[in-house]
Parts: sequence; C-alpha cells; structure tokens
Amino acid sequence: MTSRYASGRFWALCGVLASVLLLVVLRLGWVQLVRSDHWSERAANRSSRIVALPAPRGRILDRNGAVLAVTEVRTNIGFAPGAPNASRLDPTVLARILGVSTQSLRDRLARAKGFVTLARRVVLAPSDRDILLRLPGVTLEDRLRRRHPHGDLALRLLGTVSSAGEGTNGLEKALDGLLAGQRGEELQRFDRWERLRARVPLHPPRSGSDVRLTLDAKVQGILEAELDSARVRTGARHVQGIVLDPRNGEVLALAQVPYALDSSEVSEETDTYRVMAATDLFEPGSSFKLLTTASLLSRSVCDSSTIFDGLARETLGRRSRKVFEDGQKIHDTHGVGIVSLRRAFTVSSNIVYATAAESLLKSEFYEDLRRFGIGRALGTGLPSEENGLLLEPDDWTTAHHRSIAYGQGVSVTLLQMSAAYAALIGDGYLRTPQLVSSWVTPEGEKCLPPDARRGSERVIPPRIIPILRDFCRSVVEEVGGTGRRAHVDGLDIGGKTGTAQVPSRTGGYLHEVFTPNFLGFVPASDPRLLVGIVMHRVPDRYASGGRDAAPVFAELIRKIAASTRYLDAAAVVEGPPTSLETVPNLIGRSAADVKRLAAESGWSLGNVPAADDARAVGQIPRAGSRVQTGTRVRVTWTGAQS
Amino acid sequence: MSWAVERVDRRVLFYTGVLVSLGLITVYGATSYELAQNGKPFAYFSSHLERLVVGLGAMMIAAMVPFRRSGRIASQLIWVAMALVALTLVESPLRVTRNGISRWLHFGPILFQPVEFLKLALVLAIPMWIDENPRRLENLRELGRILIAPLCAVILLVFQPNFGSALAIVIITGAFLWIGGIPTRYFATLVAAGSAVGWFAFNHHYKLYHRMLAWKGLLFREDYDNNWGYQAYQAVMGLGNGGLRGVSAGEGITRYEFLPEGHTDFIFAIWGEEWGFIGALVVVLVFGLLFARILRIAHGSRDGVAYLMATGIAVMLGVYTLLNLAVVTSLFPVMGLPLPFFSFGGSALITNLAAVGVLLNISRALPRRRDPASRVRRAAR
Repeated sequence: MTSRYASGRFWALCGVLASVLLLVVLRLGWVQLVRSDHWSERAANRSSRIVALPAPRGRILDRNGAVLAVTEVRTNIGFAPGAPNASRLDPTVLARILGVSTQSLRDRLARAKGFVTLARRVVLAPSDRDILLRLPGVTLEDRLRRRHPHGDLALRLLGTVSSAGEGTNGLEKALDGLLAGQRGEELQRFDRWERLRARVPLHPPRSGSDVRLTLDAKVQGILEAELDSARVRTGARHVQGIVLDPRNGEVLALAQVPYALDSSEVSEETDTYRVMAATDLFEPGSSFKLLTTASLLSRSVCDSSTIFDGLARETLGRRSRKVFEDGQKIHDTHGVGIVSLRRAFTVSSNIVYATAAESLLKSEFYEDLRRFGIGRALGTGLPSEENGLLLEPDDWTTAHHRSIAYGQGVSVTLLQMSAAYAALIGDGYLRTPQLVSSWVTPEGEKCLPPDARRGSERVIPPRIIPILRDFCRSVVEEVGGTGRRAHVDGLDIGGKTGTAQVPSRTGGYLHEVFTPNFLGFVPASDPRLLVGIVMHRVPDRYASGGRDAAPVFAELIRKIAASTRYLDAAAVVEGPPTSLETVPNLIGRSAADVKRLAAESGWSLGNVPAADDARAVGQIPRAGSRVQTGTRVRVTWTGAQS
Repeated sequence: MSWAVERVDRRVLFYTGVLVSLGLITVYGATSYELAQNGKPFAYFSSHLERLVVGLGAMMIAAMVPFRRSGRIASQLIWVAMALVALTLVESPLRVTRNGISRWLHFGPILFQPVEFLKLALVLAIPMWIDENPRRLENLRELGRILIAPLCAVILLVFQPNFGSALAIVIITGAFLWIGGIPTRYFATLVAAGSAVGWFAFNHHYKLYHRMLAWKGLLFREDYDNNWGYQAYQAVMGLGNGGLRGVSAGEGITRYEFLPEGHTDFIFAIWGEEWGFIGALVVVLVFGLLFARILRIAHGSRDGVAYLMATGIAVMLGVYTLLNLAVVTSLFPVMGLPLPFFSFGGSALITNLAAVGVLLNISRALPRRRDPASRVRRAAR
C-alpha cells in the first residue's frame, strides 16, 4: 500500500464488508437452520398436496348373481403441455383411442397453452389405459359413479353413495365397511400455475368386497309392482312389503312404495332415504294375536280348544262391544258368541283375546313378547333401526294389558313383525332378517355372515309351532276366516290379518284411517316363504287387513309361484291342471239326464234329486257360464220341499 | 504487452471460475422448467454461456491492457456511458422495456444495460481522478469536480428508475472518497445528507415505501400481504425449504415458477434451496475469499491508482454481492441488483469479468510472494 493513503481507513472498509458478510451468513443460518421447518411446511403446502385415490367400491349382487349396484370408472383424458417430453407426443395412438382424426387432434394439442381436457367420462379398456399412461403429457383422471343396472329396483333399500364414495343410506351405508375398500393416497406436486408436474404414489387403493345379498331380483320386482298397484288401489300413504325365508331368515325381497317418500314425512329423526321396514313403527293390530297366542299356549294358560265368552254386552248393528269392569270398551267387527280360542283367532275377536290375555301375568306376557323380538332392535345394521315401543309391564294398566293382546298400544317395525312370525311358525328360533348371503374380498376370499339366530334357545316350545300354523291356516282356509282373500288355489296358505288403528298426534286414535296388514306364509304346514304386507294410512273407514292386504299377498304368491321355483315343492293340488268348462242348460232335463251330463263333463252335481223322476227347474251357475273343472252346479228340482 | 499466465493472480481466477460455473449451472436449473414448456430448456443456459465466453474475452483483453490505460479509456468513455443511460430515459426505437422497466438498449442483435458499463467506467475512472493530486479530496471545489460524474449517474438512475444501481454507485463513490482520504467531517456530512435523502425516499416514494413495508412484513412476520412482498417471500421460503443440506437438485419448488426472476436477481434462492445452508455457505465463502484476495492485491500494490482501483473493484463486487444477498435473505428491501458472476444477464457478467481482468492486470504488477523485496517490505511493516 502506498503511504499516500491511510491504512486505517482501508481496514475499516474491510471490516464493514466482513461484518455485512457475517450478517448475511447469520441471516442464512436463521432462515435455513432455525426456521427451516416453518418454511418447509409452507413450501409443501404451496406446491404439493396429498390427494386421496378413491378405492373402487364393491358390487352389490342379488342371490343369483345379478348385479344390483356397480361402481363404474369413467375417465377424463387430459393433456398437459408442460409435462416432460409432452412435445414429443405422437397423436396417432391417442387419436385412435379417442376416436378422432389425427389431424384435428394435432391441431388441438398445438393450440393448448395450458392443461386441456381431451375427452370426458370415457370407459377405457385396460389395454388402452396402459397405452395412455405411457404417453407423455397425457393425464387420466378417474371418476367413480354408482350405476344400478336394474334401474329403480330395490333402490331405496340399496341406498345411495355420496360423491366422495361413502354409503350415505340404506345397505350402502350399512355395508360400507365391506363395500368401501380403502382409499389410496398420492402426493401431487404443482408449479406456481397449479400445473401438475409430478405424482408420487404413497399407498395404492384397495377395492371393496363384492357383496351378494339374499335378495332375489325377480321376487323384488314382483313385490315392488304389487305394492305399487296396491297403493294406487287403496290410496295408502305408504305400502311396505317383505318376503323372507322363515327357515333361515334370508330376505328375498324388501320394498316400500312410493319410491320417493313425501317430504312432509321427513322429521329430524327420519329422512326420505330411510328403509321403512327398519325405521317406521306402526301398531300391528290383530296380526299381533299370533304372538299373544304363542304366549298363551306356551305358558299353558289355555289350549286351542279352550272356550271363551266372546259375547258382546252390546250390539251395534253387526259390530259388537264389550264393556269391561274397569270401563274399557272393546269392539269386535262381528259378534262371535262363545267360541274356542282357535275360532276367536280365525275370526279375529278382540274381545276374546282381551279376555284371554287377562289370565297371563303382565310380566310373563312382557317377557314372552321381548323374547319374540318386540321392543328391541334386531341388529340388521340398517341405518337408524328402531327398537319399537313396548312399555315396561310396571307401566301397563289393565286396559293396556288387554289392548296389547290384540296389537294396539305396542309399536313394531315390519322387520320385527316378520322376524317374530318367522320364529313362531318356523323352527322356533328368532333370527335377525338376513340381507347379506356372502361377500368376496378383492383377494378372492369368500366370507359368510355370522349365523342369523339370536340366542341359542327356541323362543317357543316346538310342540306349539304346529298349533300356531294351524291357527293361521284357519284364518285363510276356513269359513269365516278374516284372511280368506289370501287364498291361492293350489297352495296351502296360513296367515293373519291385522287392521290397526292409527294413533293420532293429539292422543287417541284417528277415525277412518287404518293400517291394514297381513302376514302370511306358504305352505302352511312347512313354511318356505313368509310375506308381510303393511299399508300405512289407508283413508277408508271400511279398510281392513282381510280386504286390502290379504289380496296383495295372494297376488304376490301367485306371481312368485308362476315365475320362480321357490314354491315348486309347495303345490298341494295334484292331477290334471284345471281347465274351464261350459255349463249346459239343465232346465227341463230329467234327473238321469243331468247325472249323465255331469259324469261326462268336468263339472259335478251339487245336490242330488229327491226323486229319480224329478226335473231341473233352476240351476246355479246358469247355462253358458264358464266354470273351472270340478265346480259344483246346484240344481233346483221339481217336487223338492223348501 | 505480453500475456504471462504465471504472472496473474491464480486465486482470483479460480474463485471467479468457481462462481461463474456454479452460476451457469444454476441459471440452467432456474430456467429449464419454464423453458421446457416451449420445448427449449437450454435457451437461457446457452445464451448465458455465449455471454460468458464474451465476458471471458473481455477479461482477457482487460488483463492485457495496462490498468492505467484502462482507467484513462474509462474516464474518456464515462460520458458516452452516461449518454447511453440517458437514452433509456427517452422514448426511442433503441429502448427496450421489460415488465414496465426501461433499462435496456439494443443495437441490432446486441441487447445491453448501459448502467453496467457506466458502473465499471466510474470504478475505473474515479481512482484516476483521485490519484491525480493526493490532497484533492480536502478541497471542496476539487471534491465537487470529482463528484460531478457520480452525481449525474445517480440522478439519471433515479429517473430511470433504478434505485438499486443508484444506491450501489453512491456506496462505491463513498468508499472511494473514504479510502481516498476525504476529511472525516466532509465524509460525515455526506453520509448524513445521503442518509436523510435515503430516509426521505423510503418514506415518500411510492415504490420504495411499499417495498419497505413488504420487507418489514417478511422480516418480522414471515408473511406477505400483496404482490409487493411475493417475490421476496418466495425467495425466503425457498431458502428455508432448503434447510441444512438442501433438497436434491431439481427438487426445489422455487424453480417451478414460484419465484419470478429466479434466474436473475433471486438466483441465490434457487441455489440455496437446492444445496441448502451448506451450499449457500460455500458460495458466500467463495465470494468472501474473492473479496479478501482482491483487497489483498489492493493492499499489496505500491501504485496509488492500482490501490484505489483494486479496492474499488472489490467494493463494487462486494456492494452488489452483499446487497443482492441481503435482498434475497430479506435483510434489505427488494432492490433489483444482480448477483455478480451468478445471475443471468450479459451486461453485468461481461463488465464484472472485465473488472476482474483489470484486477488481474494490477496483480501482474504486484511483487511476487517469492520476491525477496516483498519479504523485506513485510518485515519492515
């Protein structure tokens, strides 16, 4: 250094430079070492995100393997010009897969400044997908959609899936654990303009299991159609129905109409997507008498031939009314007089059942009903399953005790009623109605649901079961039975009608609005199918289970028998199929003549003439009528005393 | 005028070589992603390489020309450079505007920033003026004559506006005055006046005020509120994301267009993210060694002009480097100064390399380490 310039100033300058340099180093240390985690987190948030990869949802199949719900992968095909080597994309292969001309695609790609979507919602073949994944700059975005190949069939029971792929109601929600699978995750990195630049797989998605239901699509279809026409015919607000196999609790069909529930029905507890068989309570009415009967017989309080005084103290036209000691008035639609318990069941006498139930202890009666599944949820897993309503016996008044005997003052779901019936007329074991028959994991392992039996003991002694079946059979097959309209030719039917009153919100019961229901099974001697029909709020003062619900049952069974094989072994009428005969004009013919005609043709003579020379003067059915083979024709003869 | 490699200072060459090499790599890293969108990922890299070759040529020429002649040429060309800077202030077909800033001129295919040449010219010319007469700085009139050129330059730059370069020239000039022997009272007055002007500018100039607000927010709250703070925020985020060892090369987020102008003024953030604190420290260290070496050359020179010129070059490179690093690490509001040898930008690269060339020429005149005379001189101190 020349002596002309002060050395001190030079060193001061060096000092300043050095200290600023040191300051920069300290600052770098602060940012890069001390605050590094803070900034890394912000950088990660800004430039990347973890994206969930939806897992393909399992299919829902019916018992025969028909697909009821399937998730379909639709793919959006895009092009990112910023991706590595995107400029080297050869459009010919892409154009072939997209089904467009190479030239138009080339123009489109050339125009692309940023990301472009080339095609939306394409169903891609796996081979095409492999090709596309290898093309530079081409992106595939999968969208999952739940499709129902059978349309509306069982849709309310199946439920819906949210856009996020979660079951939101119905079986989709109940079986979400099986169907949903496990989502995968990947890290996607972006540039400042949100262009995807890299994807890092974190873990792959695992698809859900295919679930095979116990439902039979054919039976389900028949049930839905029958319920729908019944609702139109009766004006009921809703109609519910269930078909199950009482031997194992498998539900073959479960339906409710209308398909979309009235929004006025929506309350905080229920939603329009509910499965009513599990959530909607109703007072069953007389169909509950089977449970009362089971309790009476199993407690040996009485037997089927025990005679009860069903005499009404007052008669009001055909209706009769008995006023009990405590002032409770119980009506019967038809006066029954003094009858056996069996006959009281056949004609559905409230008075007799109220009287009979008085001989049961409240606690015994309550205990039996609980054992039959009343007042507790069955554990089907369906969303918002109800417990039903059965008061503790300590809270029962005597009037309550009596009314429960004929199914008022107790609320049940259709599932509970059918489960109880299945136990009482089946093998005596209470079973949770089964909706799932099996499922297959993505690894191919087949799994079965746990046994449907609830409890290891029968809820009723086996000796009672044939008696109960006989009681039910008498309702349908005997004169005066309330369920005569449930009869189906060629089949042996058992069942019980119910015509429940609807509780009003203000207390008491509504007038002229009823809940007709019918629970029936076939064949009566060895039930293979149990059917429950409930019609909510039929606005008709003459509505009854026998008039409104039983015919639905009969039509349903007829169609199931005609188009499925479930009842093939159940037919009781053997021999040639019935055919139609034309009744000839018998009037004026001699007795011998009529006998000869009857022997030659398919119809039979209803009543024999008093004398051989008698002549026919009248006939029912009249001449020209077309009747079934075997029909008896009644003839009025000359000389007969009236 | 013979070229003898063994006579030039090899350490300066080495440090410079390290810095331009790292700069070249980082320019590629900073621009390849964005340019790949147009299919030309190497466009800036090759452009930078071309300018680097030109700059190395300039360095060789400057190293061959005796530094006093360089100084004389600079003091003659200084007004040409000033005129070119003035040209950027007026609308003309030569002027080039980018991002709303008019700092460039183009003559045919050649595009350049005249301010860089003005800066170099000042650094070479002022020592000539000061060394003419050792007592010049004590005379106010003489002092004023020396300050005419820097003052003109600063005024032009304020109007351009290019506050970063203006500030750099003010600091460089101040450093010259300081080591040139300006009386302390004059220097204190100038510093006080400069500080007042600076304080006023930062509080009343719209752009500077907002930059200062953004800087404060980033420094104390580690956040930004609006576009004023975005760039510096991204730079600090990048550096912080780098941590100790850095994310691996190519994995930094700043290069994915998050950091605007990542290849020029904020290139250090790109480097610092990918190589972390260690990598950043290496670069700062190389810069520090380079300055130390240059200052050592200055200290060892027996010629007044050489001393002032070498110190001036060290101060010029130092001011640009430190201001740039301070901006990138948000120790200082955003100023728009390139990082010497690193940043993309031909004019700065060429003039900085030319300055190194002048310095090499100065170093040739130094007594060698093995020279007994130097030992004697050291012993005498």
